[in-house]
Amino acid sequence: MSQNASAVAARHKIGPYAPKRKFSLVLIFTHVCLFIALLVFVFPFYWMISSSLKPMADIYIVPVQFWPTRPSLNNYLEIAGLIQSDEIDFRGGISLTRTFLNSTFIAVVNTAGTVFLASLAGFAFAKLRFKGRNALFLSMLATMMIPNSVGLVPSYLIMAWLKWINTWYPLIIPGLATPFAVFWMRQYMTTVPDEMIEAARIDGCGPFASYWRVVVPVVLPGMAALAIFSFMGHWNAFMGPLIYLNKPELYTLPLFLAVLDSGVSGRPVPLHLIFTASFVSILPILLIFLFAQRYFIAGLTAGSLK
Amino acid sequence: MGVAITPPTVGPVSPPKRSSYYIWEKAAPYVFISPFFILFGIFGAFPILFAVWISFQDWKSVRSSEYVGFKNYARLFTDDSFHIALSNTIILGILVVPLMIIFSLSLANVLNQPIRGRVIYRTAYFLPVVTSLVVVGILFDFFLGSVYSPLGSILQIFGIEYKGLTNQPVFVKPAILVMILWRWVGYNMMIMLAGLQSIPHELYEAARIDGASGIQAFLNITVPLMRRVIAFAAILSTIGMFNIFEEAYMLVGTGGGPDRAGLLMGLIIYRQAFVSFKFGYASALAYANAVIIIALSFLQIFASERAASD
Repeated sequence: MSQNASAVAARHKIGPYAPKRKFSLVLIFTHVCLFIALLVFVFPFYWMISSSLKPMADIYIVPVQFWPTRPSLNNYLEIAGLIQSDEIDFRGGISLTRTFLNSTFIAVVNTAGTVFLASLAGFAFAKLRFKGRNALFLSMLATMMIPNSVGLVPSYLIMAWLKWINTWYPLIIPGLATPFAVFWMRQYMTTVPDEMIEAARIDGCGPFASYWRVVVPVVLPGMAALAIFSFMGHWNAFMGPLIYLNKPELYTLPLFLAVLDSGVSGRPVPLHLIFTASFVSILPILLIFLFAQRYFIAGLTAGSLK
Repeated sequence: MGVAITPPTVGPVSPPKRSSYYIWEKAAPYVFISPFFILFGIFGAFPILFAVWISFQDWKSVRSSEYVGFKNYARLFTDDSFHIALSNTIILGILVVPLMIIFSLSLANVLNQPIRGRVIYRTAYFLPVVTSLVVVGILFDFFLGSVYSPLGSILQIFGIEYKGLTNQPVFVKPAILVMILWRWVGYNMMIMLAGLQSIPHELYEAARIDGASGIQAFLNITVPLMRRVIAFAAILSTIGMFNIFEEAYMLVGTGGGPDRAGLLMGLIIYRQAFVSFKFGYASALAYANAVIIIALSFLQIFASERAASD
C-alpha cells in the first residue's frame, strides 16, 4: 500500500509543472514578482476605499495619510444626499442616490432588451432556414469592423431630429441592437442539437415555442454571460451620456463622476466625494464579477479562440 | 379521465400549404430577426453610410448644411492637430502593444502553473478590467496629476520633489501608457490563459525529458503555438489605441493636455464633433481613423499568417 502511494506521489512529481527543489529560488522570485504586480493592481482600489473614509482635509495634505486616522462614513451620507452638502448643491442638487437609480434603470432595461432581441435573432440565425440568412448575418458582422466613432455624428444628428437630446432614448434604443450580442447568441445556439428542436416540432411546438421552451432553457448560461457584460457595458457607458445629457436629474453615474471631477471655480475638487462615489459606482460590477467570475470571463474574452 | 389529447393534425412534417401554420413557419424567421434588424438598420448600419454624406458637407447647425466636396478630407493634410493626434496614437501604440503582450503573456504563463494563490493573483489582476473607464481616468488623474498623490510622498522619501506628472509634456505619454497597461493587462492575460490551456501538456513533458529548460520550452513551444492568440491580442490592443476616449478624456481632457502631448485620435474626433461642432470634419476624421484601423488589422493578420506558414 505505502509503496503504491509513494509511486503515485512520485508520478505526480514528474508531472509537467511539478516544482523541483533546485528551482525554489526561482519560485521565490516568481512569488515576489507576482506579489509586486498584485500591489500595483490593487493599490489604487485600496487608495480609493481608504480615501472615501477620510474627511476632505485629510486628503488635501502632504505627506499623505496611508491609513485614515479618523475614519468615518460621513462622505457616504453626504454623497447620498442624506446630509446637507454644498458640493451637491453647487451641481444642481442631484445626489449619488438619484444617479445610481438612473444608471440602474438604463442598464437593466438595456440588458433585458438586448438579451431578448439578440437571443431571438440568434435563434433564427442558428436554427431556422430562410432566404438571405447568410447575407444578413455576414453584413451584420462586417459592420462590427467599423469603429464606433464613425457613427458618433450621424447618431447625434438622428437623435437631434427625433428630439431625443436630453432624454434617455439615445442611451437605450440603439443599445438594444448590438451585433456582437446576436453573434454571441447564435454561436451559443448552434451547439443545441437539431434533434431537440425536431422532437419539439413533432410534439407540436411552433417556431416561437421551440425558441422559448426548448432552446432558451438550454442556453441560459450563454444568456447569463451576455446579460452580465451587457449590463457592465451600459453601467459604465460614458460617451453617450456625455453627448446627450446635460440636465443633472438625468445624469448617469459616470457622467456624475466626471462632473464632480471637473470642479466648480474657486473651490477645490471634492476628492473625498469623488473617491466615495467612484467606489460606490464600481461596487455592483465588482460584486457581480466576484460572484459570477466564470460567466464574466467567458463573455469578455469571447472570440479569442476559434 | 377519458379526455383524449388529440395529437396535432396540422403537423410541421407535412404542412398543407396556405394554412396559417404554414405561413407562420415561413414568416417566423423574419419576425424573429426584425426587431433587432429594424433598430440595427436605423441606429447601427444607416449611420455608417450617413457619415459618408455628412463628411462631404459643411454644417451650420444640425439642420442646415452645404456640399463642400472633399474639403473636409483635404483639411486632414493641413490640420496639425490631426497630425499630432495621429503621431501620438502611433507612438503610444508602438509602446503599448509589445509591452501589453509581454506583461500579459508572462503573467498568464506563470499563472497557468499550479502556483500557490494563483486564483487570488488572477482575480486581482483582472479587477481593473471590470472598473469603469471613467473611474480609471479619475484614479490616474489623481495619482499622476495631483500633488496630494501618495506617489509624491513616496518620491519625497528619496528627496525628489513631485509636482504631478500629467502637467508636464514629457510625462503625459508615459502616464497614458501606464494607465492603459494597468487597465488592460488583466484582460489580455485572460485571453492568453485561454490560449495556453489549449496547449497539450505532453509537449512540455516531452521537452523536459529532452532536457529543455523552462525558458527554452517557453520560447520553442509556448510562443509558436500561441502565435494566433498573440496576434489576436495585438490586433485588439492596436484597435483599442485608436479608439481610446474615456480614460484619456478624464486624464488630459479633449485638448490633449500640455503641448497636446496626450491628444489621441479618439479625443480629436470627439472634440471636432462636440466641442467645435465641425460635424463634417469630425466624420472625415472618423473615416480616416476607421481606414487606418482596418488597414492595420489586415496587416497584422497577414503578418501573423505569414509567420505561421514559414
